[in-house]
Amino acid sequence: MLGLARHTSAVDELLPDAAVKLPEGSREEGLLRCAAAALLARLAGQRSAVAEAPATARAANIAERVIADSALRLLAHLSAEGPKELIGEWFTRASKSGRVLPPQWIPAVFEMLTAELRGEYASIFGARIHWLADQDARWAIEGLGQECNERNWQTGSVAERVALLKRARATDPDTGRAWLEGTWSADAPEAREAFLQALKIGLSSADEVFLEQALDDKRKSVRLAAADHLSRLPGSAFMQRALERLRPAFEFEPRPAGLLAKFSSRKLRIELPSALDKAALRDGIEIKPPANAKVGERSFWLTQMLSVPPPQEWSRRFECTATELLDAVARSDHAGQVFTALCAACVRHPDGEWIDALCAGWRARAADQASGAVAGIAALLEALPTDERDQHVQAQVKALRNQDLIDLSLQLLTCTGHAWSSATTSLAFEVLLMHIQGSAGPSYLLGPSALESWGRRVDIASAAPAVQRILDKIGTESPFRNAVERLLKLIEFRIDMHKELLA
Amino acid sequence: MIWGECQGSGANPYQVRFALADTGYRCTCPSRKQPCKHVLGLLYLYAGGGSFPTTAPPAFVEEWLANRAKRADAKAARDSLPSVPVDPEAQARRLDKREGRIGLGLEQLQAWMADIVSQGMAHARAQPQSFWMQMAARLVDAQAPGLANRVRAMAAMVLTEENWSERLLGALARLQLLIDAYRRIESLPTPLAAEARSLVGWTQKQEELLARRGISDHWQVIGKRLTSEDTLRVQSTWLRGQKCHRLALVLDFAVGRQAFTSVFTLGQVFAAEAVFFDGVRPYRALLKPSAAAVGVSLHLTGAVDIGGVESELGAALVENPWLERWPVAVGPVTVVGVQDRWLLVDALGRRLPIARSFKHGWSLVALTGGETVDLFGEWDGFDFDPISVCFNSMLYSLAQIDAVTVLARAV
Repeated sequence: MLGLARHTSAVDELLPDAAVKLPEGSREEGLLRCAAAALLARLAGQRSAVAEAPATARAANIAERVIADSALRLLAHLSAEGPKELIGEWFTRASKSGRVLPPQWIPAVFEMLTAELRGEYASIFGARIHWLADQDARWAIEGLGQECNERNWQTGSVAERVALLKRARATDPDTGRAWLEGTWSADAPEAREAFLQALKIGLSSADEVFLEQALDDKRKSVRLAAADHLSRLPGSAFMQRALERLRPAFEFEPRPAGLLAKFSSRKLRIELPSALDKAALRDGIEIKPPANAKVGERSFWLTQMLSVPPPQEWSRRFECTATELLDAVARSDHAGQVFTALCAACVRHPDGEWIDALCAGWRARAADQASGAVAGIAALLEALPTDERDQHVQAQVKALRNQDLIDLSLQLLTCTGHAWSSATTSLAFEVLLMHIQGSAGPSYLLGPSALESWGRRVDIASAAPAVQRILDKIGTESPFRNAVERLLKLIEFRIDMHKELLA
Repeated sequence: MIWGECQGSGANPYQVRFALADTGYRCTCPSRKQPCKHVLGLLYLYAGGGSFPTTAPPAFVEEWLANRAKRADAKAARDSLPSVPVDPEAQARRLDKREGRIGLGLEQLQAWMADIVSQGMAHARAQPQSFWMQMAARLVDAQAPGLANRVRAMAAMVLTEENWSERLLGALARLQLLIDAYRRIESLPTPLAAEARSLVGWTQKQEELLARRGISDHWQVIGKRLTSEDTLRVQSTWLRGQKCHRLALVLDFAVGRQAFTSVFTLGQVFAAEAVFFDGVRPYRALLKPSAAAVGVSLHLTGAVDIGGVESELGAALVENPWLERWPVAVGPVTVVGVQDRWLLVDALGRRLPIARSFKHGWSLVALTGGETVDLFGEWDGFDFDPISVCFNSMLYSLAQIDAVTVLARAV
């Protein structure tokens, strides 16, 4: 190691029992030759020790059908080159197919997913992942193998406990809340925040008492989460307080007497609140508006208050339809703020009639506030459950199209987040064709990201022929051709993927 | 002869031609992929039974055919010229010159090694890469590329291995033995002499080898590995004769994006005549062109337990002391992870460490589920480097599918 220069012993002494005389040469060469002899002797003669063989538990054989190799290669391709959004679809399809990964793929696929997604798609790993987790804890899927009981709740890590709470709330919300109440005072603030978010699952009026307590918590994010949950419980004391607060602020003027009363439009009297009392602060109303919003303090308070109760409350109390009320709002002072507040309220408490009315309101403003209108409509629709949402999306797109706002209808389609039904898909491509035929050149609307989001959501059965028809109609010279061909390729890729996963 | 015009994203349609007789093709698109998608599209249409006119090809097709005919004639004319005879004197002089260069290279190498020994291996390890690479480059200039490879291998070993001092000493020592042997090569028995020459970097001419008689057998592909160094890609294919049970290693080379001339798939069985290179326990071989694929076999035969692996290496070293790696199939063993190393453990509890470069550990463990498995790989006396895996009568290779490291089935 240190070098022959520092040693003075004769090389001959290194291997005293060497049978062969070393050839002539320098000390260095001699050393190497001895080393060679020693090494060869060791390598040739080495035999590992016989020892106790470690007992390894054997894994059970894999009983389920295995996902095809071609589908797996597709996944590898997706994860290397994308499009990345299709990876989620691959996993959803794969876990629905009831098949499992071939065991040699388990570690690689496990590492592709985040901890949360591993739990969600756990079925594709099969039973082998539990055996693997026994060998090394890094392969454990959080919250999965564990039984859903209070002991695990009390002894797990925060992430595990959140997963357990979510599972408990899904099946038995009251027990879940009881666990949370049991450990609430001892938990750290970050943990409390995460648990309170989980309480959203299975939210009901039975949770009211606990949430009222949480309104007094020291940490602001906990208070905000509690207020948000309470605002979704129409029958709660929280809601009563909110309505009381608004009583002087939001009222129709009394009907004028006389025969002409029915024909004159009533005026809405809106009074900005003069001060915030302690109860209001406790219920989550902020005093200062955010720096970039150009609103006064008092109107900011009104907006916050008004966004809590369900808008159906107003149409019930004032005995009018949503449209009539919105007309009155438009004619009153602070029309813009009130409209925004009512939209926020409708997102919290989705209602078909109100959504239609508010969307009509957005469409009316579309002339000056084009992008805001689309965002507003999209936000309202997102609050609906998926099946209803599809109907409403169709209705709004048709309405926008009839108003000749083709661009906006395209934008709306691009920013909706759910998988489209075949009717929506056909409508979407109709509108697309109108846009292509009407506009001069390719726009950002048909940029790569817009197309990918379309490609992800279309109903593939009806989409492929629809896109093909568009390609036929627009001809080979159209500047849109590339964009639409890319869309077609994406759709065909999805079709292949579905075929492979079920093959 | 089929042809067509295809509208791509350019202004004019691309002209595509395909000669069915000898699969020649040409397309005017600017794509650098050969064959381009337009040619493939044309072929798909043809294969799908589309109707093609066979008479009166348009001008661009006639032109192309005419050019091809001209080129074929020119080539035939060149080939029929008598080849220049090899001048024996000139050849002898070239060989002498090379021996001279090698001799000088050996002296430089000797001095460099003596330097390392006297200053100490710790000092050598602290040197930058250029310390090793410059010596390797000098050996390449001295026309001794085999020795250059050994020096480069030392450079990698000192940085990556835990027991680097033991390995480096071993490598230097055996290099010394090789130098000693080469210097008195006339007094060595023929097989050893041939081995020494090939290790230094002398190559045997393939035409001369192919003219010899080889071993005819059914050869099964039991392992395949691709390595690359700069732009040179090497495909190493291990085959085992099903009757003679001998192991043969076939090396194919390709530069840049060239394709390899032979294509082997794990598990394929070829009826072929294998000609072995000269040397001790020779196992580098060539398959004669008459090789034909006759089927698929996914078993791994001839696996020995760990004691067998060690004694095989011992016996091999007796015949060829410069042997660095011994190809062997080991099994049945279980794969066990200890701290950050993987080990193979046989029925008697003997352990064989797996090389650090093996990245498929968890994939293998997940696959085997604690059951025993057979592996084919190379044992160098320190650790085992797996090349292929046989589990439940199915062969798997170590693969990298896009970015995913996984064992891939040999279908």
